[in-house]
Amino acid sequence: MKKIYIILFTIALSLTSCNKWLDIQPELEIRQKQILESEQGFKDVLIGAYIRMATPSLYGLNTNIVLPELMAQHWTPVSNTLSAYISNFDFSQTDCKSLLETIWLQYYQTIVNLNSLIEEIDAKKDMFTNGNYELIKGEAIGLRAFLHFEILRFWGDAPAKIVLSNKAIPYVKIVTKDPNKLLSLTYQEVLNNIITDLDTAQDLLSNDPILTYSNAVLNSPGTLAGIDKTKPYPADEYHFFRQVRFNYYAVLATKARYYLWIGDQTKALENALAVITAKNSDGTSKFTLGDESAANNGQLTFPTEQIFAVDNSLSTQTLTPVFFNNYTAYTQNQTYLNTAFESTLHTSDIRYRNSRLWENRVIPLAGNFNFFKKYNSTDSKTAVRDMPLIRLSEMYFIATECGRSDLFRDYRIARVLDASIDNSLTSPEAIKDRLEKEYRKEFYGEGQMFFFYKRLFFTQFTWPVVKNVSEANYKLPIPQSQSMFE
Amino acid sequence: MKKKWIRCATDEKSTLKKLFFSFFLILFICEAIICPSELSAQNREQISINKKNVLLDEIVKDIEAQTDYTFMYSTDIGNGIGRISVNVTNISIRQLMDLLLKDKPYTYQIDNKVVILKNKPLQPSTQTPADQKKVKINGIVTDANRDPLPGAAVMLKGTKIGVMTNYDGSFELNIPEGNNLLVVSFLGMKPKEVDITGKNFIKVALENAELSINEVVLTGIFKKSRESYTGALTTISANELKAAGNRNILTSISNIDPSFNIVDNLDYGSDPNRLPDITIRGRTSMDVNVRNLQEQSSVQNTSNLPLFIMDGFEVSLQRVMDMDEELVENITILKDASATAMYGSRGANGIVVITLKKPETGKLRVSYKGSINIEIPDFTSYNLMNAKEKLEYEKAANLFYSLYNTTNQNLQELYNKRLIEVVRGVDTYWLKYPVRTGIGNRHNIRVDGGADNFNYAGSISYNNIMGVMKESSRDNFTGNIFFQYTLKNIKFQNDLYIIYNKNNNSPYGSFSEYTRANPIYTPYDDDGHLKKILAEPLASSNSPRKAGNPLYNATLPTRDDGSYTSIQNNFAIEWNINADLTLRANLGITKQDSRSDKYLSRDHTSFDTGDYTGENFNMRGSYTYSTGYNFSYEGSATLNYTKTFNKVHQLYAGFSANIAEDKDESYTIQARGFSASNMTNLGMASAYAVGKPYSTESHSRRIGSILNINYTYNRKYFADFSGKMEGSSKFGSNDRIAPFWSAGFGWNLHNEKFIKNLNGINTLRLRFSYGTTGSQNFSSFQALTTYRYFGEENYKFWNGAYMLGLGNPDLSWQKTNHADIGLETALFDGRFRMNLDYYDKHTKALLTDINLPTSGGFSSYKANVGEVSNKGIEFDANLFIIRNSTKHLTWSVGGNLAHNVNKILKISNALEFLNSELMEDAGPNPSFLYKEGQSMNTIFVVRSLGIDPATGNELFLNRFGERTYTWDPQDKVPCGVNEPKIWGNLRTMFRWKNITLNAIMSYRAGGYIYNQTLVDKVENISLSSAVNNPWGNLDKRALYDRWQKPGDRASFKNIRDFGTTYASSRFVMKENALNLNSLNLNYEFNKEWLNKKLKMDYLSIGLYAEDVFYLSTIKQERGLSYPFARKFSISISARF
Repeated sequence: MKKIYIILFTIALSLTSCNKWLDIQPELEIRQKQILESEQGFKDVLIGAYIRMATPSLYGLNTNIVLPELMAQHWTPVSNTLSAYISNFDFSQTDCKSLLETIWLQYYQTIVNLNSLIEEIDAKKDMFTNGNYELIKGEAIGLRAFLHFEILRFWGDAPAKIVLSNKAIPYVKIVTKDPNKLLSLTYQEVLNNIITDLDTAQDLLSNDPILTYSNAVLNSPGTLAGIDKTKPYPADEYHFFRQVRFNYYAVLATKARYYLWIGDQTKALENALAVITAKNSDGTSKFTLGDESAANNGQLTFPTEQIFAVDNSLSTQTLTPVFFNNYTAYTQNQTYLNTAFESTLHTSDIRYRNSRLWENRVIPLAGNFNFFKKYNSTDSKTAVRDMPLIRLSEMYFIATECGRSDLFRDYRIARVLDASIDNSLTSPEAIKDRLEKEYRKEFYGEGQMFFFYKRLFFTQFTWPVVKNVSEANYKLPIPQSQSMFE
Repeated sequence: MKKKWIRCATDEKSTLKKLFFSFFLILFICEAIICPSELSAQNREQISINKKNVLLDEIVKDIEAQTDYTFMYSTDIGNGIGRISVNVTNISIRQLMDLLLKDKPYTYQIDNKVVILKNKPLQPSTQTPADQKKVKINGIVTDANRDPLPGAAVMLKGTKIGVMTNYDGSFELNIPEGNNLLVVSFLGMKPKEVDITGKNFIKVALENAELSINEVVLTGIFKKSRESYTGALTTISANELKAAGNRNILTSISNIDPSFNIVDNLDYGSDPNRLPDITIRGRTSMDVNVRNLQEQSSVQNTSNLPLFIMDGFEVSLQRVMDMDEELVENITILKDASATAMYGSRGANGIVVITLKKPETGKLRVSYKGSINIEIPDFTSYNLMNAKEKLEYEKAANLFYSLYNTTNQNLQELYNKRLIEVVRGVDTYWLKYPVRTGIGNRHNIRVDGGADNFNYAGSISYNNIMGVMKESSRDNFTGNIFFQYTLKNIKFQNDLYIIYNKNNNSPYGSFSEYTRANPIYTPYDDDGHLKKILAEPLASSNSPRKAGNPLYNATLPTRDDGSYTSIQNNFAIEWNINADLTLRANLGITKQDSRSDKYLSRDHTSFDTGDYTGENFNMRGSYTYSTGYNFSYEGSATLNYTKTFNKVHQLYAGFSANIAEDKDESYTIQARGFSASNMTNLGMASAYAVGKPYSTESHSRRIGSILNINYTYNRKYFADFSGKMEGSSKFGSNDRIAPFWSAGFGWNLHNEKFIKNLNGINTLRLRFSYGTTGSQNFSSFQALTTYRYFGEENYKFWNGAYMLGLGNPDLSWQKTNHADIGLETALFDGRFRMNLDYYDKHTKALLTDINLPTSGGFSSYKANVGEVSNKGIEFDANLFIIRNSTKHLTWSVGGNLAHNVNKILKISNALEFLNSELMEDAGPNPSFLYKEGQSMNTIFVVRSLGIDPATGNELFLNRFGERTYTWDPQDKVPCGVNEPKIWGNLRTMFRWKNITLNAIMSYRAGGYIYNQTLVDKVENISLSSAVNNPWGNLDKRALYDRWQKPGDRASFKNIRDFGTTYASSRFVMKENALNLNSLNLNYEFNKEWLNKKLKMDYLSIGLYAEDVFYLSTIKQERGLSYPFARKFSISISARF
């Protein structure tokens, strides 16, 4: 009998500890509880959000090169394919639907990753070193606002048509499975949320390393190896490369964009100027306009201008086939290009001269094509990794639009445009006309042109050919996977 | 987290408490009974034994353990006594020996604590008066199932004259004339008196006094009496299994029990390397990933796979398929909750319990079984055109016509060229090229024996299956060693299995390439060289497509094979604590390593595409190497208690605790770029394929405890209760411990007086059971919110992680409530047997996707919603038309029938969303929508009114009941269920002397099938499609049954119409089918002759024919990628 008791006792003992035993750690994955247990885990989840933004589903292709640029009529669509459907704003096609479905989902998937981090970070505040708590939380909250603003720019009404009490898009700040908490909010609520988050981010990022160190220092972590404590280098490797992170100035630049979108020119100007005038400790500018030497080196995305970019480590393998395949839609007609870049007037435009932006190739049996080279280096085999999302030139344009047309001159000089255009900025109408042309030249392939049209509610595009645009064309339809719950 | 943990822990405690309580109750009862015997054991005289159906050795061991007597007897005497049952308490050795040897031709003598057994002195002849005339009488003694009983005592009543029956149950006895009453007895059976007046041959069937081995139910955990078991099950003996086929265990089982349903795989036919899809009592699970739902129902069945248990341990479907049939002693299929509740979360899909042979005590025996298996391809379902018909079709379909003069001219020339070919006699029968008559062989040698307290068995087998596609094969090497050692009342067993499997896939590719090849083309050119390309296209758009020669790739060096080695060791200790209480502990460990290699030569036609031109030209050729690793263990401890109180109350109780862990891992590496065609080694590749290495991992653990109580009153009424608490790592953290239970009641009507008085009823049993079981066929980490690191992508010098999905800590197992009512009858001494079961399976908390607004970041998460019901009837009957022992003639017929109605009761929003998407789907394939109120197998198509004789266009009936020529996906309505209304087997067994003939046929009736052949090979023929191209070969009906001119009353649309054919009810057809599954003729050699001439125990020769014919009301191609085969085999079994 004794033996039975012993056996039973053993069984009982094993049963009580079984809950722990039944908790298995997967090998290819990490549990939420475990990854958000260390500072490194938080860092990795934040980086994960940036990596997702740099995938082809978002800023690696779709939300900068494909969707907004096709809607802005910047490419040569191939009939009966996705490119033609988007150019014609025909979003009922299956291909279009699934593209919008993907983009929508990827935006919110990036947001849910940020939210999972934001939800946990306060409880673990004491664990962080080197000011990383403020840095990570600030970037995450700022990025959340930035992404929602991007979604609003795509799926919301044109600013001229916004009724603040109408439903806009969901603004998601939690990780949840409750469908009721994932429904669209009104424009008022979404706009408030965006600016609240941006303000919070600005506060949290008030010790951003970008304020302390110059971009030249931050972009050369190689010098960290033999670290010289006397020299001003960030102590933490995580503090380098601020331009590809949602830094303090990215918050300001987003704010400038945001205020301009809602029509608050004063605040837009204020924020744009704050970025333009930002100085390093030695008095040099934080961000400088790109010049001839940069353009000559094939840096047409102007790295020194990038206030916020994402690093796309797979850019060559995704972008090269997009731009350099025969039969690609991402080309443009020479005549149209000459018009767009006003080639007879601005003969020395650093972007357009010497076939820097476009390369003309003859494809046997197909004809002559202009292949787009902004993202590819001169040999067109490798692509740049940093996909710009906000550049300094946009801040100049915002300032110009908001009453500081004198600043336009700095931009014009940097791009080596003909000086005569300085004098053309006499009225708001003239400024608008000039900016339309400059947005096209400056942000070709970057996706900003469409938002310029949308913000100013153009009812007709005049380049490359005349195209009438309706109010509905400006607003992407909310995907069915979301709308069926609304 | 902490809080949750504590809550769970207390839950456990309370369950434990309950279990303990029940336990103590049992223990209390035990002690009350055991204590006196413990005391009496002190004086070493009193003996208590309760053994059923054991060999003398075991009883002797028991006596030796309880007393200090030792025994001496020969093995012959041990065998002569045979299996006995004894249940005594506190009796002396002499009393016990008298009881044991009662009616046996042996006696004993006790000499100084040594008990010596010996033969009884032969008395009859000496005592018979010389003048008395003697009569010779022959006979045979069997049990109730007509199985011979060796070692039964046949005695002349009131005398000491008697003999023992021989091995085959026969006896011969000389008795003095005038004595007419014989008493036939066998321990464990009711003795029978037989009047022999005027007879010289008698046959005696003894009825069970107690349980015999066939009346025991093996559930894989407990051993229970069939008489008082409330569960629904099918038991298959080794002999039945042998008679049902010679292929693999799975097909044999389904030949016997139709509720074990192997889903017909039209695509893969008789491919030896394909695992079949199996369901027991209908489908209860939907595919876990809604997005994976395909229009083919076959994809969805993997989650309905039953659980396979071998000697108490879970084994994979693959292991069962590759298992050596010769090792199997017995198979039990558990179907209802009463039988499966003890398997908890794994039980809902039914359980197949396989019990392996144990060695028999006695001298060394060597058995051999060998067979030669022949597989012959079966093309009867193919109805392809010959060259003449093909050309006729091409002309009728207007392929040689063009509006443009020059093209028209070219096409006319092409027609003439083809006509010349046909006239000169070209008519290539492509089907013959990739196939062969596969001749495989199979051998098994088994050695077993043992004496005293040590038994052993070992076997080695080799099975070489040669498929009908050239070079496709499957080889299994199996080895098994079993030891059993008994030390007093403790028994140790160890069982070791090793399987090595090697499988080769045919280099000839898919069979469909050959069924599509045009008979006007020849594979070889005039010089006899193999062509790479059969036809080059003309310059115009309307011309034959470029057609490669499918035989070409087969001539290249290729490799497409896999192998695995699996080692399983099961160790068990059985401790007979006392007469009523047994403790058994098991530990099973399995390890499996596998690999697969697939090499495509650089010359393979799949590299003739744009991806491999230019810079990538040198990247031709590919090699995929995968390796897998599996380790699992399972341990259990089981306590069994049996006791009869006051002769009428029988109690059985069992408690078992088990623990298991399973870990799987696989890695895949792909390489490309082979400089030479014949370099079939991974290391010769010039680069890794694009992308990164790939791996999978799964890991799960479970723990559980089971309580099972069975109570029988006076062998009339009985009740069963099983309860299980199970914890599994797969469940969400909020719900980690799951309870499962079942209760059953039964009534042995045949033990009631009012039935007993009716002659002819041997068994009449009613049983009812209800219970809840679960299934958890989902991946290990589905309940967790987890993160994964990006692999290829990085961000400057940082790495990033992302959420994989929204975990669901509430995720739990699917719950199936299962009710079963059964009736078992046996009439007229077992001449007629019939079983009937009705079941109602209600599966709740089906695991499916729940859609979320995509702004949540994920489109769905997994949750338990959805309900499915399966109701059905199973019926089985067997009748002995002739059962004549005098003439050694037996003929029996039998059959069974299964009927199941599947109905979806509730679906998730994700499925509704998917339905709405599928309802917009246009295409030739029907939709299988999961709609509430419909079966999971419902075919949704647009109703068709046939082909309009005037135009050759199809006329449809839309959802409003109006006629229309336009096909609209929204008009799809349910048009039949792709599941037979009834299906089952018909069998017959005929035995005359040493010859046995077995035949098993299967039938299906009343189900609807969407005839894919009609769609693919008759109607939906498209000039742009590579597969159903008019230039390739087609079904004859494309020529003969299509509309050609106004007035044609055709079943199929205009022969010149190459537009898409959409899914319509024209292709939904009712299927009635009959298949001759197995035909077996067996001859057993006469034992005496064998003994004398060959010194052999047993020798038999069997001839098998399987899948001989298949009749169906639907003319449809079967075996698309791999043909079906007819199988013949000859086998020989011998024992020395």
